[in-house]
Amino acid sequence: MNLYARHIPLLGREGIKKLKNSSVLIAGLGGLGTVVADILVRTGIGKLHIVDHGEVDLPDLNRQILYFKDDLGKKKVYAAKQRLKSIREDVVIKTYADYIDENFKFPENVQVIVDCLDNFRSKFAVDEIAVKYNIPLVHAGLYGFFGQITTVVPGETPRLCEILNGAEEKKEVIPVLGSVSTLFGAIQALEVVKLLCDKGNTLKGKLLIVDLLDMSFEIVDLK
Amino acid sequence: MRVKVKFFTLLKLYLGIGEYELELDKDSITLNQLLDILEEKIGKKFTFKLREGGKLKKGVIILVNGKNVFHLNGIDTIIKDGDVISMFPPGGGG
Repeated sequence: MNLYARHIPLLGREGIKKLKNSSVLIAGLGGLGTVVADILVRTGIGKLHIVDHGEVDLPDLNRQILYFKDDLGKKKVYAAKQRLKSIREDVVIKTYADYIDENFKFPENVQVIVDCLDNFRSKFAVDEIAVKYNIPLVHAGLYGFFGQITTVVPGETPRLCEILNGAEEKKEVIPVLGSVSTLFGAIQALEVVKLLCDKGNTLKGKLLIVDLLDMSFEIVDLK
Repeated sequence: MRVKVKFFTLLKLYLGIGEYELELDKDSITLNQLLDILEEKIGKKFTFKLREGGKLKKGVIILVNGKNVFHLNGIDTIIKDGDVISMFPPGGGG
């Protein structure tokens, strides 16, 4: 039985081939990034670039699904790579134990960037990179039970720094439950698959505002 | 004029309402005036979260028909009939 047998009715053999030939960069390997990476590998992505400067810490284990107790203290990118390769040996994983900012040496031939970062300064830096290299950016940001997701396509939609101009970092540690970050990461991964396979409607030019305390999902059309 | 104001996430939680429709006997008002009217109608102080010293504060995004007011005219953005105003503090976590 083929690993992708259940994908064929949804994506077709053409979609599976497109994913196999695609390269995605995941910025941040926390609650969002680990979910995005796990799903994309299981969905058949050909190549992942994973970027995170941090090490696995005990509070990460409440939601960061690629890490286990044995990984505590390890660089996240290396722990994640090991887990991802154990899902699919043939996936190509490029690791960057680094900050993503204006000094980051951006790899070639990336089709989509996924913003899984945990602060606005870095999120706006990756927005700059997306515009510079003309690559779609799938953004998500969360706080507690809440958050927002959108897909930025340079030249086609408003930029992240335009949509979220006025955003400010909260001083305290951001509260989060695994259910919330996992749901957001799953939506981001689906957004990547839909973009790459040209399937259905994406969140291009739309802001999905999610309130999981109230279980409401609302879309605002952006201008 | 008739406008719809939508409060999302923490702002909705704080105010206890997600949406407020306002009908005014005017052709247009500024965002600043709208905030005054909303506070009075809703009967709960909340605009201190949005403005300070006659300017918009950072921390809450205000979109008028899907466009961030920082890219319109800030607190002096003109609000007119049919406008939809969305307000939310964005999440920065990952």
